Amino acid sequence: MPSAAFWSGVNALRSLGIGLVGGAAIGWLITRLARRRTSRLQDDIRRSKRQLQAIFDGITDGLIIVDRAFHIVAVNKAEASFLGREPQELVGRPCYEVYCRGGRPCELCPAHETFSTGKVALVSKPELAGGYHRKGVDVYTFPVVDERGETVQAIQYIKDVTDRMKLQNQLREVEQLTGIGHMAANVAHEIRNPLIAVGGFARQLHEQLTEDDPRREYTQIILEEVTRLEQILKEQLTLEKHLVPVMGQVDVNQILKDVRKLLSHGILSSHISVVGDLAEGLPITMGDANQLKQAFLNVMSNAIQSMPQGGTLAISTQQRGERIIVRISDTGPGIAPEHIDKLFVPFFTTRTSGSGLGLAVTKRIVDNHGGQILVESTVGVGSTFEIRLPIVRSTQEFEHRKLYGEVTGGGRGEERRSGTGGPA
Amino acid sequence: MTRLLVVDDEKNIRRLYESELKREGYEVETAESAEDALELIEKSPPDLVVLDIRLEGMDGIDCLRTIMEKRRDLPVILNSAYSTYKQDFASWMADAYVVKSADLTELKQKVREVLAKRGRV
Repeated sequence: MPSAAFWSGVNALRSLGIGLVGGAAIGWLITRLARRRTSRLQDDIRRSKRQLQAIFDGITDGLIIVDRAFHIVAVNKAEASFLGREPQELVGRPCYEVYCRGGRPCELCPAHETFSTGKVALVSKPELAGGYHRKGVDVYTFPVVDERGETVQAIQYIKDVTDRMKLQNQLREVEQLTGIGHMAANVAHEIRNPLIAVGGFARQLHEQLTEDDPRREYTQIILEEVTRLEQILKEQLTLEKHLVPVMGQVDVNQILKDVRKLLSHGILSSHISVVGDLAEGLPITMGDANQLKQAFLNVMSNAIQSMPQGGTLAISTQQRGERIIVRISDTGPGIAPEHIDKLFVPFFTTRTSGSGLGLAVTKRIVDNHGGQILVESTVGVGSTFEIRLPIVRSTQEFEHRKLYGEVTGGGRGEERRSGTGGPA
Repeated sequence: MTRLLVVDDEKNIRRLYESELKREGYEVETAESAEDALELIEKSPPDLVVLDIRLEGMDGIDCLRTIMEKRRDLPVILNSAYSTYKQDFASWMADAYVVKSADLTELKQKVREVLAKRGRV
């Protein structure tokens, strides 16, 4: 019979054995659990990271994170694609090298302020101050703070404000329009009456002077200028009336043919060749024939006047989806890029004659028809005006579109584009 | 001699019309308001009225209405800086509508036409 000592030894061994087995099991379990936990944490981190990356990349404005040495730590897709690079190509490089090709951080960078104050900083439209890499943006910098409260990185948020600027410009344009419109409507009467007296008596004087009297030149000048002022007032009143279109069925090709006929004198006297490419079977649409005639007339007479030494006037129409596209091109000197944006602003003109209202009126008319007018111009090559009119088959459809905001009725439906190539 | 009445609130316009129309061989009277004009018409009716629309007090359209009520046979030419009144039905009662201009050729032409049509020359 085994002794008690034996049994206690066995027991000890057994318990040790169990302990060993159990310990190993627990250890395994703990490791397993820990590993699972770690991998879950890692998963979480990865997921969070992916989410962050998705948010980072999902933001359509530019985002860059830089450290205190202005090295790029991260950049989102929008910003990378703006720079024409992949994000990984940019990470690690100094931002000033990428953006400004400079050897040190740009002076204008708002990150300087964020690093020194730990606060959000902003530089608005840095192109106004010059030196920055990009036009039409606001740059905000936000601090990234470590556990000790120190700003270790800065997030640069590059907000494209061209839309806002465009809106502001449009607003200014509208204000200008209505302001000038109201003013003109109120004072047209006041201006016109004295003008008539000035012109009328100047005419009498002119007629009283003999043909060879040198003073006739002066009275002639007075008469010409009075006529010009009267013309401006007349056009201003046209602009002021809201140009509500009187809708009827219109054949755009026919209107263009009529306008061409109206302008045949100018075309002949300037030795301009006309190339017409009017699409056959262009649908009839609803519109105000007289207004559209006026709109095309303004664009075409500008084109003719831009080619006093001759050139080519190309007129084409085509159907593109639910739109009629009218293109009027000239081979004139082109429009300087800085003038493109002002083209449709009332009283803007580069010519010494003319009121500067022609294209403003044209745009009003096109807007009222729910269309758009676009300009493409290259200095030294010529300009193309593209007028896009929606195909509207009935007055009801037009009213419906107006109701749902597709026809703006004085809204601002134009887009502008400009090419700047070619000899200046 | 054919007598014209020019109604305009601007002194210099009246002076201009008077001078130009006199040169055309008419006798010209002027009035600076619709009220004055109606009074003159009452006293001794002219052969034709050249009537401005925007006037202090009674405006040209109301003046035209009154003339039409009292003297259906008196020819009236509306003469305004605005062409917008052309769309006013009331203005259709006038024999002609001439938009004001420093060049009075059109006005003189209309005066001749209206007088000829009404057999007043």
